[in-house]
Amino acid sequence: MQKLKECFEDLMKNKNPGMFAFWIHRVTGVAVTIFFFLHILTLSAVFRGKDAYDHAISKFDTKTGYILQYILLLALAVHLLNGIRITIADFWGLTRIQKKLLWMFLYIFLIIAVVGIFTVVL
Amino acid sequence: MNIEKRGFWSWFLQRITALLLIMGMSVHFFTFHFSPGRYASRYYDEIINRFCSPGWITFNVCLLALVIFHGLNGLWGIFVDFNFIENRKNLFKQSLWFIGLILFFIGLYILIKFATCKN
Repeated sequence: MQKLKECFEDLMKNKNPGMFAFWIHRVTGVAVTIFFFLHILTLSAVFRGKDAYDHAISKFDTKTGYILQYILLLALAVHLLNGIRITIADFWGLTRIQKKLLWMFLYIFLIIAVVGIFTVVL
Repeated sequence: MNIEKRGFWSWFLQRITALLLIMGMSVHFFTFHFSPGRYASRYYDEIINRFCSPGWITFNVCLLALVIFHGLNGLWGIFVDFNFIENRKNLFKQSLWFIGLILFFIGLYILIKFATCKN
């Protein structure tokens, strides 16, 4: 717990992009894991038959459902892109360019976010 | 994440599962959230008609296993990294394995249920 507090204090003191990326990666990771439990719960409606399953799924075919799916897309995209950056830095020893990679992936994230508005929300 | 604390295999498999998940999640997201037929593809009849071939079932079983491992191993990494309750490390690890296996078998049962349904 002490380490968590220290890390959070560190973030407050050194507001650099790397620290934000570290926190965002963890927060989105935990959030998506929690979502996965809910996803399995929704799909388990199939045990109650076709109608119960379709009813459970239809709850996501609403405006609120689309917005939630869009938030999920953003969380997954940010986690995925930052994960690629970490893997590249880890496996190929490219820590020197990890800041450049961060900005590059931020642009890719923005493209996904814009495309997502048209394909998920609208 | 700290490799010394969490162990090499935990760190290494987290990276490998991540790389495989990039491909798997892209297919999953495109099919159910991006493709033109995304709205219909989530419903029962469409799943029975389109996504119950041996190929799709195998893909989904692999995706299920990868997601569970990656998600719970990530939680383990955070737990070890932040030194949450140092003396309960083993209990937490075993709990994650237990939750993971339960979740995997529920997911597998859902997939079997779909695969064995007749339209």
